[in-house]
Amino acid sequence: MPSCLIIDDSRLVRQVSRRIVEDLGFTCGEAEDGKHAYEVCEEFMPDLIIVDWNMPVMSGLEFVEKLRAMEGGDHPKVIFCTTEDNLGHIERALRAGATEYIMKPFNRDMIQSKLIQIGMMRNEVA
Amino acid sequence: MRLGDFEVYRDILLQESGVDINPEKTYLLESRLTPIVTKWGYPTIESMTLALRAVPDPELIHDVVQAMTSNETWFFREPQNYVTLGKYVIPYLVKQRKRKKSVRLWSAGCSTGQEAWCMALTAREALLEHKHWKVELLATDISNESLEYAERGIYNQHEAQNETSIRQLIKYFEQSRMGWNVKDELKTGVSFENSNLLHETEDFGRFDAIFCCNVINEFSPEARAKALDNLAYHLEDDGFLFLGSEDKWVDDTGLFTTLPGHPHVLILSDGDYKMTDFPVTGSPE
Repeated sequence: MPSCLIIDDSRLVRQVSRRIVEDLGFTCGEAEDGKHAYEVCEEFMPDLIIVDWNMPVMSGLEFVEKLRAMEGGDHPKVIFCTTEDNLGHIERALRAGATEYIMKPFNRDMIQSKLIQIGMMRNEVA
Repeated sequence: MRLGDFEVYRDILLQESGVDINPEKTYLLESRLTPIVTKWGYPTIESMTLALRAVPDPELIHDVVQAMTSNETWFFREPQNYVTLGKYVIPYLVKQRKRKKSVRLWSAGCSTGQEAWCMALTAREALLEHKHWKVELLATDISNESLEYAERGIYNQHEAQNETSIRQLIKYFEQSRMGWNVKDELKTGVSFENSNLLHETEDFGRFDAIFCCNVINEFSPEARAKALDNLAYHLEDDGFLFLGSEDKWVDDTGLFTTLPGHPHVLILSDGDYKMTDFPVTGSPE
């Protein structure tokens, strides 16, 4: 079973995302900011990371930059999931090494179709 | 609704859109027609039916057909078709159209335009390394409202980002207060026309690839045969007809045969294909 780390400072968003991603067949871990997520990745590098932009301590952008510099840090597919919806933010995220980008609000279908697009799920008719 | 009244709508739909509706769907008909009754100021559906039996206003017929047919679509619906277009059909056409250096595509039944834009986008991406090649795309539908929406090319954030990769989104769309607008660069060479696959239409010329996805699946067998004949007429001798996953009907016209390995892509039975030029490496998703 592929693994996923969900990084968001809102417990509610983590819960919602977790339910969706687990339902789609992933095992899930959580972190409430970039620094905590970095520590988790040092212990265990997940296959997929869903990360918010604005968080205390360490932002999602800084986390992704640091992640990509880590040993094995090029392995996870990274999806930003954020309210930041302008072109500048999207371009910065892609430059930092994001695989995909979801502008909130999001739902199950959106996460599922992004996972299919980036090859983390097969396109099966539900 | 009385059966006699139902038949009025059934006939109109069959004539205008080729779709044959089942009397069991009367309830659906009533709920979809109610907004049209209100719009035209008829007191009841029955009075609108009377008007339709007499000398109906073509605009009223247009509205009725529009209300009764599905126009649901989204970006990259039928994803396998875009893979086939980009990885197989365009590379094949690059070999066959060296002199012309252009490909002609048709989105037949384009609804609100997502299919047309995705075709244009896929063709452009596939031609990136082939300088000076042009993409010409015609998109047609029977609904003026859908065509206006399609041509405007403005989609809300939810529609735009759902099935589009973020890189495609920022490359071919620009952000506006309305949502995401198709960039002029992608609009070049794309045109929209009101046209009905079942009517005698102007001759649009011949196309290298036609997408007609989930359009004729609800057609009566006669209407379907007519539409297929029309599509075959507009296809180059080595052109490709792409269908949707809901198109589960059997083609008894004999005009087409399936492209080996691509069940949703039809080629002309009496066509002239250089199969040896068709890319064989890899397989579609």
